[in-house]
Amino acid sequence: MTILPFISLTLPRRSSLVELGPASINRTGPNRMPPNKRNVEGCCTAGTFWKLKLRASMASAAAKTPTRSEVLSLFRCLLRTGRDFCDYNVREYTKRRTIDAFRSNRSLSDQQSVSAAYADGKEQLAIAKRQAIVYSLYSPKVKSIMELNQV
Amino acid sequence: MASKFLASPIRRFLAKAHRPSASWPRHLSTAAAAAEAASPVYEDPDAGIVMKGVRISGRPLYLDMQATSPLDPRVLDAMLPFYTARYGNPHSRTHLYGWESDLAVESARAQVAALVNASPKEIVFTSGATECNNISIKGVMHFYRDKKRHVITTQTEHKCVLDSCRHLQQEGFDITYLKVGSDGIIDLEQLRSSIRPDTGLVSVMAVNNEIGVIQPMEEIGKICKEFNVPFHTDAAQALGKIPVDVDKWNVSLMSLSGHKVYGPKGVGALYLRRRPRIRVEPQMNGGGQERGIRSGTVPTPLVVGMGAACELAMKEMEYDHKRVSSLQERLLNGIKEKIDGVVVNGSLEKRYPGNLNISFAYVEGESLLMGLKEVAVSSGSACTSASLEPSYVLRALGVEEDMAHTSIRYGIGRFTTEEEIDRAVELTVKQVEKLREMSPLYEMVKEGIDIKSIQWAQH
Repeated sequence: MTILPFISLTLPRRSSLVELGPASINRTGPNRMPPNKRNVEGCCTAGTFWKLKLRASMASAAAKTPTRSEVLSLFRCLLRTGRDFCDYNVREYTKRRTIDAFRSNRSLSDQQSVSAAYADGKEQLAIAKRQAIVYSLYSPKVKSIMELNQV
Repeated sequence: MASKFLASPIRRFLAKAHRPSASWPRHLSTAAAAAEAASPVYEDPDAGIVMKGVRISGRPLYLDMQATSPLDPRVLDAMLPFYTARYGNPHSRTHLYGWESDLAVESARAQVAALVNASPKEIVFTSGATECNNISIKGVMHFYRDKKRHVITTQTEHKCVLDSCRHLQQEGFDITYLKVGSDGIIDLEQLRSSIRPDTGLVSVMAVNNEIGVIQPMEEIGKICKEFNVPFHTDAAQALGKIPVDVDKWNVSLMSLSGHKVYGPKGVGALYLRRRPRIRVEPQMNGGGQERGIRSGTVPTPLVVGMGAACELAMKEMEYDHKRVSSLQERLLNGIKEKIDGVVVNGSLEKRYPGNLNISFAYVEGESLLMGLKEVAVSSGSACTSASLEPSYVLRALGVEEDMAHTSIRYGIGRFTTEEEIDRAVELTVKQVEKLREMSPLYEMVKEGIDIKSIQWAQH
């Protein structure tokens, strides 16, 4: 959960899509799912992830750089997955680390580092999802003192 | 959207339905006296935890990172495949299970080596830093027993180092225990003057587990190189926290531990320099695994976990260090603002920020610890907290008996939050003030009487 960027607003979004055809008008990025296929909660499921990957490989080479909305979507997914952890410390760490990592990589502009960071982020998201399940299977019956007094 | 609002109350209802039945607490209460030995822990989501006669409402907040650290979820993710599907023995050469386990062990070895700037061929996996220390001290001295009969170490080393040295002493070797200053750092001139022609090993730990001071490793390495004496360091607490470089420090042997870097317990690694080669006599004999130095099947999941933990530590070291330093300041300032008579044991500048050992004056140590049951801290190290005598490390620092008894060690780590620090400050201050209110010694101090000038009457 280290190197994830905030893409600056100057990155081209719709301009690179004109050549993809009329079907792309409703999309904000070459890899974006059409609205009716998107998961209502907005969180990337494994199926969505693989479909995105397929479209990414099918799209042109210039589209390998993740768009701003993809990055934001990854950020939101990571935060949402982090909330599912039963353990207080891990939950807080995931939230804090995601925000700090994205913030520190805001200025990355080189395409290769951006895609590498995005790919790393995707991996971390998969890890977080798996571990949230594992931790919930073995969570202790009594919660941490920090959680109890907050409630 | 509405489903989200319904989801949590539904989950809570289901959790209540699955709770153990109401008759369970009654069984324990009627048979409490007899059954207390049989069922020492009783957990109930409503009533909290009852253990050893103490009731706490929830799991305590963990501030004991020097004893052990929680497993990072990313490390657990790396380990689980090797507990489920990829369970082969890495030394089996004939089938896929062995080959994939071997690959995993070798990549973990490379990860550990990268963190300490060594070559993977110089890393030997063991069962922990204690075993590494044993191999280093006893192994080296037994190998060179004809020519070298002297070992130099410090008074603040870990118990396993001191015990190995005592074992060597019984065999007839000479051991010099260097004194430390009141800040916990050894005197380099004293080290230089204690080196003899027959000195076989100098063993100084990098970061002390009780007081957290960092020894001047580069200078000690230079002295050892000058006199051509092998230099061993116990870097269990230092790994992943401060930059560790075997070439800069000029160490020949280094003990590393897995569970101090958010890895699994039961694994460690020993760094053995190849150029110039240091030879050790193995303590575990067997089939010749790990280059003959530590025979026995290498535990693939544990080793993979340690490798993943080391790789993570390398990536996160800067971020963690900054954060832990700011948390330490917050803790120390928070306590010092509200109460006086607070002494930090050990140097404040040359210290790893995640370890804060404080003594509170005019307070009794055991009662302070008992009152701090909602905070998991330790007084003295985990190795010595079973006995009542004050820790030998604090005694070596020259801390007086009464202050040594009231020392508390706070361990801050990657997963500690600001709220936990604030709560710990609040609880500590409350407990100390409560105890001081009851203490007649504190009343006398407030009136201005000097404690040391009191003539205690004999009865």
